[in-house]
Amino acid sequence: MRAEALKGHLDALLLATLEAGPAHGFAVMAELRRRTGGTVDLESGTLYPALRRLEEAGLILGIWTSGPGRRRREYQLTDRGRAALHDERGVWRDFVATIGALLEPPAAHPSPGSPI
Amino acid sequence: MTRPESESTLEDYLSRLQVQTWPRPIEPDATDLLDELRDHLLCDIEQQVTDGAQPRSAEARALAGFGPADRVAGALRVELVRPHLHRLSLALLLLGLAGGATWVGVLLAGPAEPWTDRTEPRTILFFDRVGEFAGTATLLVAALAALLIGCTGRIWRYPRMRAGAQRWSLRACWVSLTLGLLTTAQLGGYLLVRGVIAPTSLAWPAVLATVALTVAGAPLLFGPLRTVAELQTGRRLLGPPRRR
Repeated sequence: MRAEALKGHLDALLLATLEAGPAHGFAVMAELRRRTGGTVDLESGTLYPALRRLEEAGLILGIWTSGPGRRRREYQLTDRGRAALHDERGVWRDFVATIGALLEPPAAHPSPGSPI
Repeated sequence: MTRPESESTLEDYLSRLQVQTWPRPIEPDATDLLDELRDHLLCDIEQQVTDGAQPRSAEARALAGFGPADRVAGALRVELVRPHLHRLSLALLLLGLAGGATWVGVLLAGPAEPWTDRTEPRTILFFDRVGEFAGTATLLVAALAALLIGCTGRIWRYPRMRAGAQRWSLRACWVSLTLGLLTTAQLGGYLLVRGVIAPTSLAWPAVLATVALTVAGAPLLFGPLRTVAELQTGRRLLGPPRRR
């Protein structure tokens, strides 16, 4: 799945990835790949503008920690971020239910007049 | 784990990214983000080497997976420009309000108008009206710019709307700035005609105080203005280009 298909969903995916706990950028990307079975194939560079956007919106908080011999920035969900993720899930469920009802092949209902 | 042999390639990539993202080094922001990106790339390389890859090929794959420097830089600049744009719109609004108030004070301190409402020359009347309109519009458009950029955080889940709000906020800032310059020029002409800045005027202390305030306030405006323009164009303005 390429970046184009994820437009509009990347921010929510990142929030969901951070729900388990704080993580740095590489760990977020690795978790995203792991949880989607590798189907989400983003250029890693696209992650940082998105993280910056979410941080600016107050949904995540970035904190500098120390990595193996270098500085590392970890992100964690804020309360606003958790609430936003909750909302996103609701929107997504509604979306899937509505679109799924139309796109899924109809169950085999007996048509009017057909022999029972 | 040892670092890869050809770290120069990684540093070259980061150096390219830095030049294409920040036309001039901006605040500690640039260093922080570059450190973060370096950490990501090194994590990727280390992970691959742990999995058995050669350091050089691991580095090449990590850089390829990160994306071309110009594309990453472009996406970063879109996000980086937002707070500066916010600052610019607020500076336009505040300086417009403060500037307007102080120059009105100068007018009040100056000599009385040498004409009445009936005898006011048409040309003066025209410029007076233009100034009033441009001054009011400067503030309104700056307020609109601040509002648009201010709402981008709230509409984070609508990328198109957010990008649109940012684009329109930038346009509004340029319009407000142009109107502000027009108002300033009009005001200068008006003060000359009114004799407020004539050698014999009693308003000189007020004029000098206002000019001093204007000069002191200019960096508040031109700092974010230059940064926004540079992040938008990806080029360094007012100075030699940075060496890659």
